[in-house]
Amino acid sequence: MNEHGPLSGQSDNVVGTEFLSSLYAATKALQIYPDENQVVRDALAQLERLAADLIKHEGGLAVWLAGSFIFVNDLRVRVDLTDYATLAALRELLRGHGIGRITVSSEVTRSDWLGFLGLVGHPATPGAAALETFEEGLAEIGVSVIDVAAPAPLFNPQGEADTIEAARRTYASSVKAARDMMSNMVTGKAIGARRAERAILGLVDQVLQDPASILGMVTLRDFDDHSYIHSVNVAILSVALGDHLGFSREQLFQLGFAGLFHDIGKILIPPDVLNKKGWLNEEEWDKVSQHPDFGLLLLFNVEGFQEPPYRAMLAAYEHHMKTDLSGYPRVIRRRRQGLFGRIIAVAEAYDAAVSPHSKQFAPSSPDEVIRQLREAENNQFDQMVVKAFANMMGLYPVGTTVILDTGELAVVVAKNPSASALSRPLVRLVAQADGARIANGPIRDLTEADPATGKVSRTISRSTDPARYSINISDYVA
Amino acid sequence: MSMDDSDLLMDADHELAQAGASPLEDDGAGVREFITALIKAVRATQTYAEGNALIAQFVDSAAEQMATLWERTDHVTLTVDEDRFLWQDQTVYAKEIGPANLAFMFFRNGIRVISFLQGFEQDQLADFVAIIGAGLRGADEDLLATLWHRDLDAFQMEYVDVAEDENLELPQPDRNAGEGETIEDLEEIEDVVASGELPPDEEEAVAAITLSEADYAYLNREMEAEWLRPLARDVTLALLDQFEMRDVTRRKQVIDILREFLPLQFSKRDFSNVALIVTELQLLANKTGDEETQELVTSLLKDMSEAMAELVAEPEDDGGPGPEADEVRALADALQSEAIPTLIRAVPAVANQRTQHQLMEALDRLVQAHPESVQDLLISQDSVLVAESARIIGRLSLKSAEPALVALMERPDHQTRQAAIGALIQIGSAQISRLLKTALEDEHRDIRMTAVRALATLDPDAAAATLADVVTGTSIREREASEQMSLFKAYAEAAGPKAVPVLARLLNQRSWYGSRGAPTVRAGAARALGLLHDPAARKALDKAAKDKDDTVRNAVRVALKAHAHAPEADGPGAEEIE
Repeated sequence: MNEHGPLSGQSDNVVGTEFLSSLYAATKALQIYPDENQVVRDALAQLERLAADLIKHEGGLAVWLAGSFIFVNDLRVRVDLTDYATLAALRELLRGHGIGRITVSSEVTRSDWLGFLGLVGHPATPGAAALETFEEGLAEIGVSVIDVAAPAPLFNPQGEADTIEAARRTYASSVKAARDMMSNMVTGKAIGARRAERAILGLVDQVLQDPASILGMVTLRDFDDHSYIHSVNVAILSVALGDHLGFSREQLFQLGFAGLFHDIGKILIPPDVLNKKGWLNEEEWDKVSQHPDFGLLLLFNVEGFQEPPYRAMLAAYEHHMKTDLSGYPRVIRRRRQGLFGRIIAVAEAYDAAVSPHSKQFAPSSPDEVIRQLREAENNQFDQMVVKAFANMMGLYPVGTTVILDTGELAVVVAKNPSASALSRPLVRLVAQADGARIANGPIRDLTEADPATGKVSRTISRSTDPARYSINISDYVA
Repeated sequence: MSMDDSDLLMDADHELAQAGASPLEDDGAGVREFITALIKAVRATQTYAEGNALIAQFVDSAAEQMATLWERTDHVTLTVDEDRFLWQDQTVYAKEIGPANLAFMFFRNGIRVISFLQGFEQDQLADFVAIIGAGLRGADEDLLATLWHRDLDAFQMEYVDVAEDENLELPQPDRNAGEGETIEDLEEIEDVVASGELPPDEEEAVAAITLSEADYAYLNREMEAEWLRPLARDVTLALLDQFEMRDVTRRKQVIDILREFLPLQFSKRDFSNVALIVTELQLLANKTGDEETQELVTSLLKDMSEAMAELVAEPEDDGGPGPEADEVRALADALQSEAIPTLIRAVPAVANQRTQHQLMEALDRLVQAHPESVQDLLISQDSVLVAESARIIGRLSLKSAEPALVALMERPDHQTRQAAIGALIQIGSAQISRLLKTALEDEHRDIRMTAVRALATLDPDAAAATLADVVTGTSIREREASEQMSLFKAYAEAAGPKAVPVLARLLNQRSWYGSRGAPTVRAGAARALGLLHDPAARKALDKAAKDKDDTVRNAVRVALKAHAHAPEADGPGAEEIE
């Protein structure tokens, strides 16, 4: 077995999923019951058996976390929504301890598993010391046949810079593709699906590889035309939510496609109406409210797929409907609003609310928008989708400007990898407490603890308006 | 753009190299051999038809070659150059740039690195080979997209966007923004810090957005429902809503879309959706009362009628399950006269009797409403179509089609003449007697027989005279025995006892040189006499009872048997015949 990365290995996906589920089940059992309880014993017996099988047939056993992927013996375990809750919980448990890799020796015994899982199920030490603490714990209980290590770097040695650069390229390319395709539609040309398809493939891969980097791009607002940015942003937010929920790659593709074209109907709305500042009169509103209708009809012009993009059509048509099918367009022949339409409705509402390009509203802080979405009328959005969206974004989404309890000013750059730290994102420091701006400020994990006191070093006091401090969010995030 | 897990692979290569543990420390011969075997397999897909056993053999051979690689390494990563594949900086495949160059095919699709992992050879290689084969054949597919969507477990790739504009302007955020500056207005920050303000109810807020297993289960169900969603049906409902709630301009847009959408539904044999569309459109058109809308709908239905008729009439075993009765009804009701030719051709072959009956009703309705449509078909050179059209005209007694039917009697193909004479009989043509007489001399037996039967039924007196001429004429001998028999029977039925003298003569009379007539003619006369139960007939038969000719004698025996079982009838006496 290769010791260097998730390269090879041949393992049945089912076996991999079974093993990971078993690992999690045993951990949970140990959290609830004493060691000698039958539930624990059964769970451990199954874990031992699966581990022994894998070691016997593949010469070893290693579990890797890489981005949103989990590998067992170097084979990526494909997670669908059925297993997602379990595997996402396991991933978060391991991440909480700073564990990115577990290597199990063939000499592992039940006692070793017992000790190891006991530590995994124990609350993690906040911050960077988590892995060190875990390793010390293993040493203390004498477990030497299970090794843990930090997550392997997902990207090449140039690291973050390259990832961000790739995300920027994907984003810019997608905006351009959206602009080109929609311009063609305005002139009545059919849209070749290939260009759109490539754009979505790139977005999906970027989300799968590093959701944080592409989510950061959503804060970019300096392109010429807001419509295209909004379309790409909704595609990104939707795909990121789909990924967060364990959608397959193909499902993500379809969701991204639907997101990119959800507002395609707006190209048929007169610009003076679409770009009007302030409230619309009845006639203007009648025009604007027909953009889902136009979206449905226009998407029949997409060529290159075996069938018309039905799912995208329906998402474009339904994204302003409420869950009870009120909203617009009016529904005469009743049917169920699709999940894609409900996801895009939330993504669209979020992006529109944080956008400085809104014609009717001043932009809101991302954390405020999350709160508003959660507090929206019950039928406005699918509240479970809103909950999942908020869970993905955290209480302080990427791009939120925050005042820390230290008096420092910062911008949220990523959700904390630990699922339980939803209020403690990663932030880039923008200004010191005395007001001095920090050039290329460092990124801080708000779960980091002061070694001296064991208490977290920084906590968000509140979000604030970046304009008040002349902060261009994308300078810090994108 | 770096995609998928390729970076991980590259990292690992780098680490392996650093560790001096490169697993394939040879000249790449194994990789070359694998690529050669792979190309042979791809070529096989181009040479042989899908499913040919030779393709599988070449794929197996490539799989074996690949399996030997796994004895020494866990993965093979190839860099794709314009004209070659590189493995660890060594060229392992090179060829002149062109459509047959495998590397070029990847390259022009934007694929820059490909990696094969263990397990690829087991169940993914064949799929991969088929995709590449299609790519080399020039199939109009995006290779990158195809491979991406196929999502092969043990295959990874790194790609760039080949359509990307060279001058693509990338956003350039300024990480050093505000360098050297100081925020002047610190009031808000100072207030926050001074008050020790922290967000309220943070734990509660976190709990409120933490997903439970039940939440995942709900989302899982919703995802499954989304995936099972009847997409075309829901799009149809949306289109119909648009048609109903908007103005005529929108209706026209919807109709234009349906011109493309309906044939797609036909090809999917989605009878239910097609039935819904045509039914609702007709209802909505009537509901609006708007003439333009009605014309729009009618125009669409006219354009779709032919295809709809084909759809319903298509044999079930060729295209999956057939339509339900209510679906056929809806489609049949929507058919316009444009469907007539298709229905005429297809209905006789419809296997499902219920469907056939429903379509027959629809056809009759259309023909009655548009008789000119079917009459126009009578000038077609398609003999099957013409014959079927004639039959329908006959069934529906469309008298206006008489001249066209009469003209058909001059057609060279007998099916057309047969159908035409049948139709003319059914509509009761004024010229029928003349036509039937002519038909009695038609070159085709079936037509003559039709004419014989019709003559006997329609105008017995005229038929008797005509048939007397036929049975006593010389041409009777040239006809087949069965036709002769039919002619004699028809004559007996038409003329009744009056035929006895003629028949008796034909049976028993000798010529001036003492010979008798042809045995088959005499036998026909005998059988006809058997139908005429009167003494003269009996006497004539008795006289021939011991005839030397077997054929005649047998016919007489049968006829006498018929007489034995029948009451005597009035007719000319035996003496009269003598």
